[in-house]
Amino acid sequence: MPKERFPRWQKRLLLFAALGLALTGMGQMPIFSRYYIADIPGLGWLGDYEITAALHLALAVVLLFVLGMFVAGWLGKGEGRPRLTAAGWQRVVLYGALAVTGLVRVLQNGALPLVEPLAVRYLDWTHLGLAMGLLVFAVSQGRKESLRRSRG
Amino acid sequence: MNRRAFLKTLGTGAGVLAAPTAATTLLARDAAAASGEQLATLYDLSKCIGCGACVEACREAHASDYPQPKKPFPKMYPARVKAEDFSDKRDIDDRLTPYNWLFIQSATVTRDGAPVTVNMPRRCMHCVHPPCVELCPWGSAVRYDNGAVGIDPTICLGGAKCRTVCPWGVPQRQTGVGLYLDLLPAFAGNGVMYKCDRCQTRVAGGGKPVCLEVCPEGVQTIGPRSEIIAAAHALAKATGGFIYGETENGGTNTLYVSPVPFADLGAALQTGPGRPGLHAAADVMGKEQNLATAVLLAPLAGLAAGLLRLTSRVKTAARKEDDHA
Ligand code: SF4
Ligand code: SF4
Ligand code: SF4
Repeated sequence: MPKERFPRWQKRLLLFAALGLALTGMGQMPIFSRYYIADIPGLGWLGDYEITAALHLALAVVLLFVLGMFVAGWLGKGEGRPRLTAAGWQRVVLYGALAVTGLVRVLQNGALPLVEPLAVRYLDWTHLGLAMGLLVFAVSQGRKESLRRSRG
Repeated sequence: MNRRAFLKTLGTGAGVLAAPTAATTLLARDAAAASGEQLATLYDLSKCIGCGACVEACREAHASDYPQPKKPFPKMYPARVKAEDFSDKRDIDDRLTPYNWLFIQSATVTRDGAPVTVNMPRRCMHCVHPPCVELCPWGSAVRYDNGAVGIDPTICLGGAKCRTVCPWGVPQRQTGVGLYLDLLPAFAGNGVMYKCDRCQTRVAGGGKPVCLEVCPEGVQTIGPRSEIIAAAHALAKATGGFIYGETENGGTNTLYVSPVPFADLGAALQTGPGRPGLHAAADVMGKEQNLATAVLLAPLAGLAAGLLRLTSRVKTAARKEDDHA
């Protein structure tokens, strides 16, 4: 049995995807061009909506894959799984809700629009609000453990 | 599962997803368009005399929808952010503006040695996969179930992303109106984007677009998308004409039939801000389709990979027990 329940490289991958998603997500709003960020040599792509939208999807693939693995690992532990801390619960809720709202938005653009046209705004605002919530969480609670040490 | 095994799983997953699903999802994303719910319009350009009655009627019908900006506009930062103001130029009717959602574009080309002038009423194409809607980060641009595309002036912030991603640069901005004024007008937003909403209020109530109704020549017809496509092909066949809008940007709900090729018309057109061209617009949202499919399947692939990891662990544990036996 490995010591780490979730290997460090998986957590690193998750962090990389989350940071990339935050950046490309912000790129969906017209701010990088307005505030000269896209003028910085090498960062021009941040002002290109087609590139940032494609990257946002690509990074979402990575994030959702890792989240899927975490969920499987967690459920697979059955009764023996350690309990979540408060910070752990907050992580689960924030990541889960971001993933769900993102997936619903992808479906909305594609084959399965679930949301009424005039309600899509609430979906978008929720996704944006959750992302900001996760950012606040990461800054204030980011170092806290998700799992209780041990049940002895 | 180690890193190599993970990458292998991810790679196999991606490979499996990419090939066959590309085709199926492209079909699936057209399901809404094929459902018969979406309405499309057909312009028989051989009939249009360029009288402008439709333009005038649109302006009259939508006068109350036009922006009433407050001046002076709040100062915007940084200085590169420019106001776009058409409120003193409301009379302009030879291009798209926030106060003019339809204009007549004319081009004269030579056909069989003789000059032919074609008049084209131009407005939003009401795309089947509208990038203005699918990429709007604020949910203000919407596609209604009947295939019309509108922008809600009560929440639009005027960032103009819709115009940037629209293959025809259709939506037009007016500074000094809208929700951004109540948020951080100096630092975010720049007004509201305006364009043809295909008379959504009238059409949703069973009516027809105003521009269609007033046309003395019966240039425009509206109907279920499949019927309009069939009618466009029949017309093109009967007259030796050409079609624009059926496949451009992955398909639109506005089909033009012209007696001369659109490439010739496009080359003879005056294009620029508010004056769209007639290029073979590539399918903007179609480019993202494979990625979107991968996003939908990623959580399942991750779950599967996690389960594999668990079962391999159980097996290893079992083998160990055997060894001990
Ligand atoms: S023509 Fe442009 S504004 Fe109209 S629906 Fe298509 S992308 Fe949107
Ligand atoms: S459909 Fe309505 S809004 Fe659009 S151009 Fe015609 S009259 Fe104007
Ligand atoms: S579409 Fe009809 S109303 Fe509009 S310019 Fe042509 S002929 Fe006149």
